Amino acid sequence: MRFRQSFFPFTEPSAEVDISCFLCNGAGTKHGETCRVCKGTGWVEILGCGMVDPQVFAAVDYPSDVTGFAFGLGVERIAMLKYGIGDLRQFFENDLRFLQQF
Amino acid sequence: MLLSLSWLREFTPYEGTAQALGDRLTMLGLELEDIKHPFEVLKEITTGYVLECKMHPDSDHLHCCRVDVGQEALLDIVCGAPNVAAGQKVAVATIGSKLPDGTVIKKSKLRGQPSHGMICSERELGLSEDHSGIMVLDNSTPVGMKLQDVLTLDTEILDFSITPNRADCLSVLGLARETAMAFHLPLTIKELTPTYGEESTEVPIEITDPKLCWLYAGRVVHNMHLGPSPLHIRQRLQACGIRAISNIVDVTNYILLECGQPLHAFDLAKLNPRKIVVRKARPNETFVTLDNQERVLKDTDLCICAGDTPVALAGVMGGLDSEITSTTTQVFVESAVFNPPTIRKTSRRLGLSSESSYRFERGIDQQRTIWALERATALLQELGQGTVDKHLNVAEPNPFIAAQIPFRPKYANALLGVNLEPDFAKTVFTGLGLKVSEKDTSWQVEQASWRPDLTREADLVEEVGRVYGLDNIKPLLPPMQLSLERHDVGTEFAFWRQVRHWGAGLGLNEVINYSFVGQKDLDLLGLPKDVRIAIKNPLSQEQDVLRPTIAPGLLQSLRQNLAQGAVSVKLFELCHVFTLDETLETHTKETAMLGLLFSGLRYEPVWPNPQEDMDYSDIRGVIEHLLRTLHVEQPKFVQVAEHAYLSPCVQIFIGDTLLGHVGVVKSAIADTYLAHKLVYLAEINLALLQELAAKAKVKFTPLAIYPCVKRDITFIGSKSLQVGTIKAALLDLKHPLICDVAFVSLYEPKESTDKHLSFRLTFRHNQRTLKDAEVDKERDKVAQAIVKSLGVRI
Repeated sequence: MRFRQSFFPFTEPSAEVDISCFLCNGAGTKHGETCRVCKGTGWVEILGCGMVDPQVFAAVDYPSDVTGFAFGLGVERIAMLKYGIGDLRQFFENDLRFLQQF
Repeated sequence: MLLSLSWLREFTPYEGTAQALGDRLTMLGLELEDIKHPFEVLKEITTGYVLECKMHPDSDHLHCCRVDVGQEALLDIVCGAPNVAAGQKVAVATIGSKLPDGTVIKKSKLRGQPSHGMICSERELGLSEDHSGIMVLDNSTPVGMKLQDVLTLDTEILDFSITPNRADCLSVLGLARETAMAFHLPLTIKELTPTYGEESTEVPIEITDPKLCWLYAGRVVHNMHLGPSPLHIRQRLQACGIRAISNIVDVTNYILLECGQPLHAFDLAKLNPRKIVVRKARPNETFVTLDNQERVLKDTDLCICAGDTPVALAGVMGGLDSEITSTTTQVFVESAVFNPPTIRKTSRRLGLSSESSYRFERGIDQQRTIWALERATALLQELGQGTVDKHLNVAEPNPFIAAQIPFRPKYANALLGVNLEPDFAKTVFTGLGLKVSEKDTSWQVEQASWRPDLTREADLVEEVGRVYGLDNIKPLLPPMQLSLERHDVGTEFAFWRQVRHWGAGLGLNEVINYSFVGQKDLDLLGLPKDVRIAIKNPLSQEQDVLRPTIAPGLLQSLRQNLAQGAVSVKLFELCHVFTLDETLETHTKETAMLGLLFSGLRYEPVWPNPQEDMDYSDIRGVIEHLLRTLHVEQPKFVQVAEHAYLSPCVQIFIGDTLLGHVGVVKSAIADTYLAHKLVYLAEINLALLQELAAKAKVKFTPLAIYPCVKRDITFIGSKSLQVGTIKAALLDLKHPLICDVAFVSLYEPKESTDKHLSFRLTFRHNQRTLKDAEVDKERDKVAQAIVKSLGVRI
């Protein structure tokens, strides 16, 4: 797992969290070809996080010495990683052949 | 953002690999997406020397050449290009090599003459669109080398994904600045030594709204010779994803990529009068952009005008009328800074996004604008033999003012959870080009003109954090107080989980559909329009309204599965539905619902299962089973005359509370969802059910000691006689000895209008064993009572 600098309008500093690719084990290649899951980077984005932007607290009248952290992850993304599901749309199609595997 | 590694090296002496650079910048917040090698195919192309060139004996346009490619034997090559001649250095694709378009060169014969390769044009090499003749290389080119090595090409391109806050990194210069900071290298920005001609051409600039145009500068270049740019410029633009057009346009794009300042070149002859006015567009004013589209403007758009005539849509696209053409000799080059939101609005509204608008939307380094103009005119002079005018036209009503940002090293450490020496922060800021004045514990840091994103202390803390590396911060689990009590008891979440486990345990499949559905779906179901809550900015027409009922999603899931050949569909879904309610603060009533949808075979079609379709009893049984699981009393089912999409439709009551309804989807609607068998649908109010389940109490009844006696009665009546009517009448007798009434059989004689319904009564006494005669007597009494009250026969 790694924390990588990124940008979100509501956190400062902001980071993306990557985990090493589950398909190629972080190698970036599988059977001599570029890994299709991580596109050769060896890493897969899993969530965004950061320290709450002071403006967010100001907007809800919190005192300026308050700090907080924020993070959010998409459940579909985690499920895709865990079960090796290649296409996000399948979560919303409700195909019985998909549903019956869980 | 595509960055050429060799271009980067013109600004900073980075010697490492592209991958190492990409990895480091990724951790600094500039994510490397890919490394491309745009001219890799040219590795297969060899340089050659045309020793002999004769006309083909059987053709009026083919040439037979003998070419030296550094091998022992000379190659015979038939070439059709009009410009091929002996003594030329050329690019040769030998047998077996592959061209950019995928063509593999094979040994062949052209009109009887052998050909062992191909002499290539620029287009065949993927270097330009030029196919008028073969590419002729410089005379000093060595023979037998890889073409990729003898041409100066940008062969390593890094593709970065730039976050919206880092406008400064949308240029080679910006990425070089980050590289220099990250690897402790010097950053060299070219010193310009412009030379000007004798002419001094004033083009007055008037900015009517200084809030929308902060800086506008322009300069004239005379005596331009329009033509293609030299190869080193063309290939570089191509490697960075921009098509080369002409030396004038290429220069503006080159500078845009190099320092992030978009430029625009006007044909000076077409600026009539010769005066630039930057003003808001008038409502419904029309303007034809470069792509020959007439645009209807709004007063939120910004126009560059010659006098009063618009000649460009500021920051977005130039006009067709002032475009550079083959007759252009005098060029007016614009370098300006516009208000980012103005450009964003215009670009979005017209669906016109360009390399220029993309940068203007995010913010321009206003202290680089004039430099960019000088660099561009100097390059025009070099590439088009132009003469740069003496006079610089500039209006800057809104100069850049650097923010003075307070910074406390202690606060930075606290926010990041690290313990850094103040010197570290200072090195970071200096590396980023920010000026620091230290005053004990509180510093003042001056914003740089290329970093519009740095205005507050938190922004500076982020800079310290990202250079230190967020990944290097030691993880620490914050202490939290938790009690051992379960917090979810009685919550909607816990109840839904219970219902989900019930459904899955029963062998039904849970589906999850979007809360957004289409107005069309609701029209199809015949739902009233006045309760719907439309979405203001829908993603698509299929998702432009909140669902007021669970049916559309379930029917959609049915269609999906029938299309995949499913023969037995048993679905359930838990969700919220939304209806308009003016009395509520949000005007939206949100209700938790459970939906059930059954259609097709009752069992999987395998031995020994009977092949039969599900019917009303299946869905009704499942509803009763749910209520029994939750210990809620059994429901009453009451048929209603009409429903929007169910026919027949039955309401489900618990006591006097309407819990939901169940029925068959009308066939016209079912047809649209591809269903050829009956579709049973139930919609149950989950919020009400949760209340009922919370109130339900389980009370134990002691097990009977004395045996029971069973007696059957068959009632005969007309075809309209209902099981429920008789059962209710039997129960209504409240006979002290009857402890159960069950319907056991139905018989409808063929040649009669009668219907025979048999019920089994269970008699029991709590204190003694009943005698047969006694039970027979009670049975007859009960039968007679029903005969009397319902007018049936026995």
